Amino acid sequence: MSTDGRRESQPSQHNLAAYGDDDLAVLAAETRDEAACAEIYRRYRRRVYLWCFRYTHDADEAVDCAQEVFVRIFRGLGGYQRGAKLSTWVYQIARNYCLSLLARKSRLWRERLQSLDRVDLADGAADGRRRKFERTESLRRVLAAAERVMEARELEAFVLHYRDGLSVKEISRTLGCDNITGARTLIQNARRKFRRLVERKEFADE
Amino acid sequence: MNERRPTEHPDYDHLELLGRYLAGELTDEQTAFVREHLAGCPACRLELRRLARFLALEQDDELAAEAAWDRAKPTLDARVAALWSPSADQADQADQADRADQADHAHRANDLQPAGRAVPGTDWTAARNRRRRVVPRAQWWIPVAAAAAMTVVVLGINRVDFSATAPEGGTIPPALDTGGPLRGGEKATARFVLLRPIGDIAAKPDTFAWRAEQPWDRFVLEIYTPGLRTVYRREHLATTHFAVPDSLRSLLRADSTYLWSVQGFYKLEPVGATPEAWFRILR
Repeated sequence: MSTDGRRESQPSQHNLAAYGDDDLAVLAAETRDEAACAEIYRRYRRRVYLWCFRYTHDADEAVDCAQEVFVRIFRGLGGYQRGAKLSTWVYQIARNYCLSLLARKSRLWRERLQSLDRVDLADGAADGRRRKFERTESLRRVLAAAERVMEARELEAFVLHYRDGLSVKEISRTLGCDNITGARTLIQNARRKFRRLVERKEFADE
Repeated sequence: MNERRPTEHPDYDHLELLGRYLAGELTDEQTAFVREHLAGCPACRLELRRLARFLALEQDDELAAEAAWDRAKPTLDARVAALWSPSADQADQADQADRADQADHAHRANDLQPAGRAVPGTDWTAARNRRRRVVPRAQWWIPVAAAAAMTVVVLGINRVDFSATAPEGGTIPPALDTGGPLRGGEKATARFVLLRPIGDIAAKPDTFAWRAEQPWDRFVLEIYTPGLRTVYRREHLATTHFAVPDSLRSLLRADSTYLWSVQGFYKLEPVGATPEAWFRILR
């Protein structure tokens, strides 16, 4: 980066384009300059929007979501530490916002779980276990238990699908599967193991 | 780094390490530390994948096409620009959006230059209120539509025969008299059709049957009262019919009305649901 650019009170767009990510963030944090913020926005808008789209599955909602993420980014710039990586910092804000958005739609987790072929409600004995499971159901408990029985990649696919609500295609991209079938197999294996886990009495009685 | 569950957020220092690990900016010693930690910590492994995915999104044209990024970009640009210029005229923003649509990628930042010198973080409320008006919508019809809906509801209520014996869960809403959809919307496009039981039936049903006009690999069947209390739910059905087991038969009561619907899944994804149908068991 050029040190001249930082001394100027209003760096031009031309100078800003030459700034590295992290220097740009320091400039924006120190001067709260709109041009610097706009440059950060220009560099990250596509990534943030696409990230939001993965969670919302809807273009309009993703625009809302991305806007909120940028509000948080600009608002939080004062707390940006010199030497930190801007990309990681932006990622953290986008991730936390999307996950909190999911938490607010807490019904999602419940609905996703209901679509798991886990316990047959018609079976009277299983019914009791299922109710007990639902009463004590919480994300952390479910996943803590799932972690014990699943392989690493299965658990990742399981969390991304049932907790983050990502599509199978997106999971295959995130986990670097060769094709969509690979991700689907991971999810199916994870679901089968999870089903067995839920049906085991010791889990329900925990 | 302590071991974490995949659901907990690793704190920022860990993320920073992971970011630098991905960028290859760590010393050998730090790299070895991160690798060793990753081997035993599912949460950080998942975080690393997420972060790598975030960074790779810039080049993902396939997802950008799916997400209609080209169409969303002008809207997002206009909204973020409005964060700095809450006093800007709404028409200006629309113009800005149009211009941004056509402008070259490299020149886009010029559009973000605000008129004033508003410092970000000072007045978000005005900008937030404004964002809902970025896409202007005609709203005169809302009170008209509300009045029309009220009229339909009132007329519908007047047509209910209150002298009839109320089935379990209360009077059947008029919309159900046809056995048609109760909650509309997305149901209109579903290509799963319920076949039987529908309407008044003489005895408890032996089979639930439906038809699928699109690919599926499993179904969820749900039976509930007019009060929307679930009586029975059956998941992972691999056929388009369901033979009523004794456990369900004992749950169904004569002289009662029930609703039922089916949701279809294909390769783990929900692909549609049928409209609800009702049936009433006479004896």
